[in-house]
Amino acid sequence: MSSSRRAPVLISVIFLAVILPPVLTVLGAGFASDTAGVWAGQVQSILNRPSTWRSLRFSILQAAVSAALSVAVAVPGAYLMSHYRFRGRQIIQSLSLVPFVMPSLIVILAVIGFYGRAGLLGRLFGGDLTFVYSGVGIIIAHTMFNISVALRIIAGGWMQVDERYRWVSASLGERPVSRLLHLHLPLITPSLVSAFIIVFLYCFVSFGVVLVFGGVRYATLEVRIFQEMFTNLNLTGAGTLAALQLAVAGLLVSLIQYLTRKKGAGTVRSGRRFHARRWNELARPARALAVLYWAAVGMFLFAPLLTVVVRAFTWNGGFSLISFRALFGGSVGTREVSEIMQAQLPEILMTSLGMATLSALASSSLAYLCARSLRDHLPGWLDTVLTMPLAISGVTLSLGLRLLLFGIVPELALIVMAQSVMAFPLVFRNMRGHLRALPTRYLETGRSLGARPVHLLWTVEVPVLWRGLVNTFAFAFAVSLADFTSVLTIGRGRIVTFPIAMYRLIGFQSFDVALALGVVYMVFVGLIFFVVDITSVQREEAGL
Amino acid sequence: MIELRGIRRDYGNFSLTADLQIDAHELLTLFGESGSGKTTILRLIAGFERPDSGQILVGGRAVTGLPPERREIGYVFQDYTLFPHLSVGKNIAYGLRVQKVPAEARVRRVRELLDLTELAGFEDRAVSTLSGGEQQRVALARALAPSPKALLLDEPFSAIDTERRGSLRRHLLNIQRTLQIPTVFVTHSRTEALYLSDRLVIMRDGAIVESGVPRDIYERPKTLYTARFTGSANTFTHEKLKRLPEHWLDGPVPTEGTGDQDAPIAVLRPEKFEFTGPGQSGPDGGCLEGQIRHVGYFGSYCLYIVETELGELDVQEEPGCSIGQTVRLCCPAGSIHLLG
Amino acid sequence: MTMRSRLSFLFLTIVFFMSLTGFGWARGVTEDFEAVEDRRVETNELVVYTYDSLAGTLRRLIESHFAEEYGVTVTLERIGDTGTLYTQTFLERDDPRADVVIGFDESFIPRLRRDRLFEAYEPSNIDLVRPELAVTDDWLVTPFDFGFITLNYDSEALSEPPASWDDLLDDRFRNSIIMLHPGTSSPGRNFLLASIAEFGEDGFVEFWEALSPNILTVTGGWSEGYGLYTQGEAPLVISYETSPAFHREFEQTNRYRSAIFDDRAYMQIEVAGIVRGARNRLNAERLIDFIVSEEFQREIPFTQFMYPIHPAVELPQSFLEGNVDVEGVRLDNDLIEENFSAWLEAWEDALR
Repeated sequence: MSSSRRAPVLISVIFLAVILPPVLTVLGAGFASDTAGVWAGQVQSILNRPSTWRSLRFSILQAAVSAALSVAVAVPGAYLMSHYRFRGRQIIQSLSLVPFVMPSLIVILAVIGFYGRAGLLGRLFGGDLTFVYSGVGIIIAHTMFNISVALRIIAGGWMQVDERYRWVSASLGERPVSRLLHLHLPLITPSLVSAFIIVFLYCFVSFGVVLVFGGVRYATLEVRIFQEMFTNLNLTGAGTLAALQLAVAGLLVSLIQYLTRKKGAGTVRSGRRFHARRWNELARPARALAVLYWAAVGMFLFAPLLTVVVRAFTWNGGFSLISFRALFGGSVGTREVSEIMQAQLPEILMTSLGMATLSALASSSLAYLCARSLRDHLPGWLDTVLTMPLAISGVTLSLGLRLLLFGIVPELALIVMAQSVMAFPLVFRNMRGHLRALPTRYLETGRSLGARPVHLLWTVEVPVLWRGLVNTFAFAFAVSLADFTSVLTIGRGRIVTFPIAMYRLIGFQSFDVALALGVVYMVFVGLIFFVVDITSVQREEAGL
Repeated sequence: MIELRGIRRDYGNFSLTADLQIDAHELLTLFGESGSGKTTILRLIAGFERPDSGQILVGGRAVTGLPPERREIGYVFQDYTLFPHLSVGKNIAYGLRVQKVPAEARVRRVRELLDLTELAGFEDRAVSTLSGGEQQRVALARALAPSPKALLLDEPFSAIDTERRGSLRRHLLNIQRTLQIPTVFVTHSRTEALYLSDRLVIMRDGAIVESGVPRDIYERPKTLYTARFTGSANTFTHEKLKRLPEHWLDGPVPTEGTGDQDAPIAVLRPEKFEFTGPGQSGPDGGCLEGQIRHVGYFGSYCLYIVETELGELDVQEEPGCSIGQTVRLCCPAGSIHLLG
Repeated sequence: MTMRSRLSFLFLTIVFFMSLTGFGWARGVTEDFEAVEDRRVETNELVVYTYDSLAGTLRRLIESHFAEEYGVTVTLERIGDTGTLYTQTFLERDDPRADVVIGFDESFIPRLRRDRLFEAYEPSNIDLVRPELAVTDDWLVTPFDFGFITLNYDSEALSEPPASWDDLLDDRFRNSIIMLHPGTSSPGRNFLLASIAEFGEDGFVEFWEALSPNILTVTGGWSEGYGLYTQGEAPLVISYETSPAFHREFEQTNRYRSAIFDDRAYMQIEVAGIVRGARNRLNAERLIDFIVSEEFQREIPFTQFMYPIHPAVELPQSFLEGNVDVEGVRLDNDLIEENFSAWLEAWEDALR
C-alpha cells in the first residue's frame, strides 16, 4: 500500500530532477551577464512580441491537425495489426519505423521529391504543384514521421481490449460499424489519446519541416527558440521560450487528459491473451479493402523515400553508382568523403549501433522499472509529467545537460542520458502496454516459490514479456538512432553517427553522397528492425 | 426452440459433433469435463464460430450463416465482461440502443430488468464498484434486455463465491421461468447442473454422451463417465456383481459379456447404503460387512470409506461412526444400477 | 499523507538546489585575469574551439604545424554551429578552457566586445591581409576567410536570370525563390542585410512585400534550401557566391551560377580570436599568425569554399570562372546588433 503510494512521487522527483535543471540552466545562463532587472526586461520583451504568440498559436494548430491525421490514418492499420495475423505483419511493423528514424532533412527532400513541383507526382500528372508549400506539406511530412508511433501505440491498446466484448456486442445484435464506434472507440480511447499526445508533442516542437512547408508565415515556437539561441545569442530569450513551450505543452496535455478522463473510461480487463484471428477469417471485400489500405500507406510512406533513393543513384541525369563509390572510400573532388564525415563508414555504423543500443537499453530498463512500479497506480498528473521530455526542445536539454554536467559525467554517458530522457515518454507508454501481459499473480507465484526479485526478472519477467520488451527496445533504439541534436551538442563533433555524417556531407554541399548514405542508413535500419522483430517472434513461437 | 442438426466442427486434434434440440421453455445444461466441447456448442449457437457442416435453427429460422449480431441470442460470459466504460444502466441499455429503441421505452425496459434482477437503484453505478454477483446480474440483464430468442450462459457462476451462488441460481430460475425462453447453460459444477436443469446433456470428447432429466441421469446413467461425473459412485465389475444379493440390482445380472472383465458394469450411489446394527439384517435381507477406514465429515452427513470383501466402498450416512468400527451395509432393492 | 508531503518537500528541495547549481554555475564571478605579458610564456598545449564544419584537413594542418614547429599538442574541439560555439565560449568566460576560437562571423564582434570574450592580438604578418578585411581597428579578431551571399540560379531552368534587384520582382519569377530564414540561417540573415543595405532601413520592407509572391518557400537552414534547389524545386536560392564553384570543381558542371547585381554583394567575413584570459597565450598568438599565413590560406578555397584573405594565394580555376570582381557590401555591425530583432519582425510581417 505505502509502496504503491510512494512510487509515483519518488519517480517524479527523480524524473524532474533530471529534466528541469537543464532547462533552468539555459534559462538562468542569461541571468549571469545582466542584472535581475535587465533579465526580467528581456523576458518581458520576448513575451511582449506578437510573433511569440503567433508562433505559439500556429505550433498548437499544426500539431493538433498533424496528430489528428496521423492517428486517423493509423487506426485502420492498428485494427488490422491487432486483430489479424497475416503474412508481412512483422515487416510492416519494422518498415513503418524507417521514416521515423530519418533525419528531418531527408524526409523533407523525400516529400518534395514526390509531391513537390519537380516531384514525381507533378511529372506524372502534370501541372505546377505548389500545394505542399501551403501547409499541406507540414501535415504530410509529420504524418510520415509519426504514423509508426501512432500505429504501435494504438495497436498495443487494441490488443488489450478483451475480445469477448466483441462477442457480447454481437450477441446483443450490434453491427460491426456500430460496434467500432460505440464499443471499440471508447475502449481504445486511452490509447488514441496517448498516441495523439505523443504525436502532438513531436509536431509541437518540430522545426525544419514546419519552416520549409509553411514558410515564414507559419514559424513555430521551436523556430523562435533556435533564433534566440543561435542567431540572437540570447540565452534568456531562448530559455524563456523553452519554458513557455514546456508550460503550454504541460497545460495542453493535462487538459487533453482531463477532458478524456472525465468520461471515466475504466481499465480494460487485462491478463487475458489476445487471440489474433487468421487473415482469411476476414470477409473477401474487407480483405481487399485491407490490402488497399496497406498499399496506400506503403505508398504514402515509401514512395517519397524512393525518390531519395533514386536521386542517390542518379548523376548528371543518368543512373550511376558514383555517389556510393564516393561513400565507400571514395572522395568528392580532392576531399575524401571519410574526411568530410570525419569518420569512416564502418566506424559510423559501429558508433550508431553502439550508441543506440546503449541508450535503448538505458531507456527501456528505466521505463520498465517505472512502468512496473506504477502498474497499479498512475495518477494523471504523473502521466503528464512523464510525457514532458517531448516538449523540451532537444537543443535546450542537451545544452543544459552539457552545461550542467560536462566534465563531471563522461560525454558518452551524457549523450545516453539525454537520449534516454527524450525517448522515455514513448518507451514508457509502449512498455506500460506490454506489461499487461504479465499478471501480478505470476510474480507473486514466483515470490512464493522463493525467487528473489533479480532472479524473478530473468526467470519470469523477461521470458514472459520478451516480445514486448524487444518491441519496446526497438522503439527506443529507433528514437536514439534518429537523434542528432544531443550527439552533436554533447559529443563535440567527435562522435559521428549516421545523421551527423549526413549533416556534414550536406554541409559540404555533397547532397548526392549524403543521400547515398541515407540509403545505406535506410537499409541498415530496416534490417535491424526486421531482425529484432523476427527474433522476438521466433523466440515467442519457441514457447519462451 | 433451438435445433442443432448434424453439426460438425473440426479443430485438427479435436472435433465436435452434435445433434440437439432445445425446447422453447427449456433450461438445458451442457455438462462435461473441460475440453469436452460444451462452450464450443454455445459459441456455435451464438454464431461466434461457424460449423464446418450441419445446420442451426433458432425459432425455426436457419441461422447457420448469420453473423452473431443478426441472431438475437443473449450470451453471458463466465466473468461478466461488462463494458468498463459504461454505467450499469448503460450496460443494460446497450442492446436496446443498438436496436434503436426509443429513449423512453429504453428507460422503461432497463427499469424492468433492474427489477427483475433485483438491481433497482444501481442504474448509475460504475460497473467496477459492483460485487461479482451484482456484476453477473447486470450481465444477465444486459443479455436479456433486447428480448433475445434464446439465452446462452457460459459458466456464469463459476467466478462467484460459493455462498452467493445459491441466490444467483434462484434468480436465474425465476427469470427463466418468467421469460420462458430456451436457455442453454454450460457448467462443470454438478450441483448447478442437477439443480437448475430441465434437461441435462452430458458431453465428452466433442460428442453428446447422453441426455435426460437430471434425476434419470443421476440415478440411471448410461455410462460410467456420466455416473462418475454427476456424483460419487461405487462401481462393480461383472465378477463382483455376482457376489451381491441379486435383488439389490435394478435388473437381471447380464450374462458374461465378451468385453473387458475388469470394466465396471454397474454403479451404486453412496447415499443408497444404510448401516445396520451387528447381527441385524437389512429390510430385504442380505448385507455386507466391513470396517470403517475413513470418515469425511460434511455437517449433515458423513462420507465413510468402508473396507469390505468387495474392496473399499463409499457410504453416505448420518454422522456417528468412527474409524475402525465394524459396520454392516444394506441397501434397498433395485439400488444398484446396471449401466447401458 | 505525511509520507507524501515529506516527499513532495524533498522533491522541491532537490529541484531548487539543482537549479541553483545551474544558475550559480552559469553566473560565476567575473574576475580579472593575469596580464597578457605574464601569460605569454612557453607552454606545451593549445586548446582551440571551432564549429563542426571546419574541415579535417585544416585541423590536421594546425596539429602537425604545432607539433613540428613547437612540440605543442593541439586540442581542437568542434562544437556544433556558430551559435553553440558562442554559447560555450560565453559560458566559460570566467574560467576559459579554450585559447583560440576559430569561426565566428564578423557580426559577432559587438557581442564579443560586450561580453568581453576576446583579447586583442595583431598578427605579426598582418600586412598580408587585404586592408578592407581588417574588421576591427584594435585587432580584437583576425579575419581568415570571406565570401559573398548572393542569389544562385539554375541556368537550365532559367534562361533569363534576374539582372537587378528590381528585375527580381518580375512576374516571371513567381514562386521561384527559395529564401532562408534570417532568424535561423546565416546566409538568410546576410541576404536580409543585403536588402537593407540596398533599400535602406525604410525601404526594405516594401521590397520584401513586393517580392513575397515570388518566394516559393522559406527554409530554416541552408541545407534544406539548397537541397530543394538542386532537386529542381525552384530555380533561385539564397546561397554563397562560391557555391557554383563547388559544382564546377566536383561535378564538372557550370549549370549553377550566382546572380550578382551591380557587381555588388553582401560580404561575410569569418574571424578567429584569442580568448580573454587564454592560458596558452603564446601558442594562441602563433596560431593566429599561422592562420593568416600562406600555408594555411592555400587550403581555404577547397576546404571552406570561401575566399582566402591572403592575396598571394592563387585561386583554383573553378573559382576564377565565377564573378571575379565583386564589391563587398557590409552594414555596420553595431547597427545590426541594435536593430536586427526589429528588422526580423518587420521582414516577417512583410512576408505574412
